[in-house]
Amino acid sequence: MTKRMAKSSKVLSIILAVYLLTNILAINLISAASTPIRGGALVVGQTILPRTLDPHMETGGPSFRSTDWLFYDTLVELDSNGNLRPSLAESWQISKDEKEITFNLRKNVVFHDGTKFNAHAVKYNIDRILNPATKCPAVSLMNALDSVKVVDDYTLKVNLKYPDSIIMMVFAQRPGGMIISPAAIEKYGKDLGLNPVGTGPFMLEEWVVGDHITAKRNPNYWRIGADNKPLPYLDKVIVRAVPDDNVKIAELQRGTIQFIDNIPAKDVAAIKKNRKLKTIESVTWWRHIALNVNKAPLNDKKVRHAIAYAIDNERIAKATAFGLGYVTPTITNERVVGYDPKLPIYKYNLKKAQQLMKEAGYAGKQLNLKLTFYSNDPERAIAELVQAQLSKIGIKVSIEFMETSAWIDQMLSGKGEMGISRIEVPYAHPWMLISERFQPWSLGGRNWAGYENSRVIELLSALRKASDKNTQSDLVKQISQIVIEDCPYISLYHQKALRGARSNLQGIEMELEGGWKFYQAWFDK
Amino acid sequence: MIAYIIRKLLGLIPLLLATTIIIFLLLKLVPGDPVLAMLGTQGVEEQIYRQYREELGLDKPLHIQYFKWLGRVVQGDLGRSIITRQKVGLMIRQRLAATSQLVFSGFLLGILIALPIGIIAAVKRNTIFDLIVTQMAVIGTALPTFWLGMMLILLFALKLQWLPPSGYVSFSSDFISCLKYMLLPSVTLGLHLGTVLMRQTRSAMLDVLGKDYIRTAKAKGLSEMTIICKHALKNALVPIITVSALQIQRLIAGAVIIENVFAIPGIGRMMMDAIHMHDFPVMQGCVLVVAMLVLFINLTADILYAYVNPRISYQ
Repeated sequence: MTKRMAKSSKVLSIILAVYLLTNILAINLISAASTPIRGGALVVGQTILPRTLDPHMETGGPSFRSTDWLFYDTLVELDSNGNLRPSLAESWQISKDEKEITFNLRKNVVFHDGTKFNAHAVKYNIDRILNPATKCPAVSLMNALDSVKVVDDYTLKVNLKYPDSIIMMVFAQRPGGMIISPAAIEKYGKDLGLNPVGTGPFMLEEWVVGDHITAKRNPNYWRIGADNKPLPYLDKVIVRAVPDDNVKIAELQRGTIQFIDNIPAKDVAAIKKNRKLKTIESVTWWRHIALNVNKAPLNDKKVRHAIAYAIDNERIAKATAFGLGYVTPTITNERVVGYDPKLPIYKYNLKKAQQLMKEAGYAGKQLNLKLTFYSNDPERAIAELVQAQLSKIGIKVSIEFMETSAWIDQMLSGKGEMGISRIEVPYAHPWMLISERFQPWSLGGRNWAGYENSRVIELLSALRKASDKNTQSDLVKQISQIVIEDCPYISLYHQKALRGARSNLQGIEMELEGGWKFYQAWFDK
Repeated sequence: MIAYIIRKLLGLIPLLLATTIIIFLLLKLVPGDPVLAMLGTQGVEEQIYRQYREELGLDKPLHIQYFKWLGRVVQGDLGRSIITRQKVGLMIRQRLAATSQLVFSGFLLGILIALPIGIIAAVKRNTIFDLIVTQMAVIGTALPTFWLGMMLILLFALKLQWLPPSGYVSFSSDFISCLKYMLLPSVTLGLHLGTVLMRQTRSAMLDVLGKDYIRTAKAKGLSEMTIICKHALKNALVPIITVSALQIQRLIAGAVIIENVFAIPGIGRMMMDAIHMHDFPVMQGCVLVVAMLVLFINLTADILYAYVNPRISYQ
C-alpha cells in the first residue's frame, strides 16, 4: 500500500467506526426509550371502592369495572375504537344465520388458584350467570342465549335463540365476559365477592374493606410483554378509596397517588399546566333532566317543549362544565353510530316557550314542580340555573338533593317530577346506550322518565338485531327523531370526562366505555 | 360487687332491644331502599329488583322483619350486608381495630393533656397560667371537630406536608407509620376530650384541696407533691372518672365524623355508609356492638370507683 492509500484507509476506517458507533448508540437510545421498565407499585385513587369483586354481580361504572380488569380477562376484547380482538378466545366463528358462535380458546392459561382455564370453565361461568338463583343484575343482556356446548377442552359452541348483535360486546365486557375460576366459585360461595380468582394480570394480596385493595403481580399471566417476558410490568397495584376530590387532586400532585378516576371540571386547567401530570380523555357524560311523562302537567308535550325552550343549555354548559361541555340534540354524540348534529335542538327561546305554555292553557297560571338530584357537583348549580330560567314561564321549581336510592325510588315509582341524571357515552353498541333511558323499566331500561313509546320499542328491538353499521345508523337516526320530538328528557349537554395520571405512567389502555386497564402499564423514569 | 355487675348486665337486654327497635324504625321511615342502593343507577332492572326484595323479605311487615333478624342474632348470626353480601360479624371485627385504635389514642392524648394541666391550674389557681388555660378550654370545647380536623389536614398535611392527609395503617403492621397516620385524627378527637376533662379535673381538685384533711396534711408537714398526688388526686378521681366515662362515649360518636374526614376504615364510617345505603343488617349490628361497648365502659368506671375510693360500696 502507498502512504497515501494507507492514510485514506485510516480516515475511512475512522469514519466507518464513528458511523457504526453512532448507529449503535442511536439504536440503544431508541430502544431504551420504548422498552418498558419493570417493577414498581401503582397507587390508584378513586372516590369509592367496589362493593364486590365478583364481576357477575357488580353493576357500577368504569371505576368499579376497572378494578375487575386487574383480576379478570374476557373471551374477547374491545379496542378503543370498539373493534373486537382476541383475548381468552384466540378466534371465533359466527354462523351464517348468526345463531351459532364457536369460540376457540387459548391453551395453557391458568387461574390464580392454579386450576386450568378451558371450555368447561367458560360454560360453568355462563351457566352461573343464566341461573336465576344467582340473580345476576345484568342477566337480560344474555337473553338471546339458548345453550352452551363444550365441544372439546378448548372449543365452545354458543347457540342463540335469535341473532343478537350485542352478544359479542357482552362477552367483551360484562357480565358474561369476565371468567371466574369455577373452583373458586364452589369454594367461596357467598364470599366470592371478597375473593377474586381470575386469569388476570394481578392477584389479590390484601383488601382492607373501605380503605384499599392491594393487587400483586400474577407471575403466570398469559400475555407477553415487549421484552418477551410475561406481563404485567408493574409489581403491584393499590386501589385506594379517597372520597374527597380535593384530597385526591392534592395526592396526585404530591405523587402519593399516580392515577385518579376523575378530574373535576374546575381543576382541569390546573392539572394541564403541571408538566408532571397529564389528563387522559375518556368517555363523555350526557347530562339530562328526566321529565315524568305520566304526571301532569309534564304529560302534556307542549309543556315539555316549553320547558326545553325555556332552558338555556349553552349558558348552563358554560357555567357548570368549565369549557368541557357541548350541547347535542339528544343522548348520542359524535362517538355513537347514527349521530346526526343536524337533528333539531331546542335552542333557548323564551318567547316560544311562553307561547307554548299559553297554548297548553297555563298562561298567567303558576305551576309548581320539584327538581331532584342525587349528586351535588355540579347538579346543584344546574338545578339553580334551571330554577331561575323556568320561573320566567310561570313554573316555580323547588330543588332538592336526595340520596341515590331514594332518588331512584321516586323516579321509577312515578312519584318524582323532574330529575337530573347522567350517563356515560358511548357504550359498545348503540342499543346498549339508547335502551338505558328509552326502554321501559319493565323491559330492562333505566327509564327515569317513565317513557313508553311502542314505535321506539320496535325500533330498539330491530337495533339489537342489526349487526351492520349502516342499518344501526339508520335505526338510531329514526329513534333520535322520535325521542327529540317526544322530549321525555331535556338534553342538557355532553361533558368530557377526564382521568388524571402522573406523566411518567405509560402503557395505560383506556376502554371504549370509560374504564382503564393496567396490564401493560409501566413507570418511565 | 358481683351481684351488682350481673344486675347491670341483665339491665342491658331491654336497653339493647329498645335501641335496635328505634334505629330499625328510623331507618325504615327514611325514603330509600337497600336493593336500589345496591343495584344503583346503572344496574336496577324491574325483574331483578323484585327478586332481590323477595329474597331479603323486604316486602314483609316491619315487625316480622325485625323478629326474623332478632331470631338470628340470639343464635349468634348477625346476618349479611345487603350491599356487599359480606358477613356482618366479620365486617365489624375487621373495622373494630381501627376505631378502637382511634378512640384509645384520642382518649390517651386527652388524659395526657387534661390531668397535668388541670392539676397545675388548680394548684396555681387565679394565676395567669390558670386564666390562659381556662380560656383555651372554653375555645377548645366550642370548636367543631370536623372543622378542626380539616384545618389540621390543610396545615400539616397539605401545606407543610409533615404528615399524610388521610388513611390508616394498623398498629400491628407498621408502628411508625401507624403513629404518623394516627397523629392528626387523635389530636382532633383528643383535644375536645382534653378541654372538657381539664376543666373537670381543675374543679374537682379545687374542691378537694379546700377540704379539712388537706389542711391537716399541710400542717403535718407533708410535701406538696405528696399532698397533691397521694391525698388530693385520689379523692378527686371519682368525678374525673365519671366525666371520662361519659366523654369516651362521646369520643365514640365523634369517631364517626373523624373517620369520614380522615378516611379511616372504622366502625363509624361503616355505620354512615350503612345508613346511606339502607343496609339494615350492618346498621343493626353496629348499634348492638356500640351499645355493648358503652355498657362495658360504664361498668369499668363503676369498678374503678370502688377501687379508688373504698368507701363507695355496692349493695
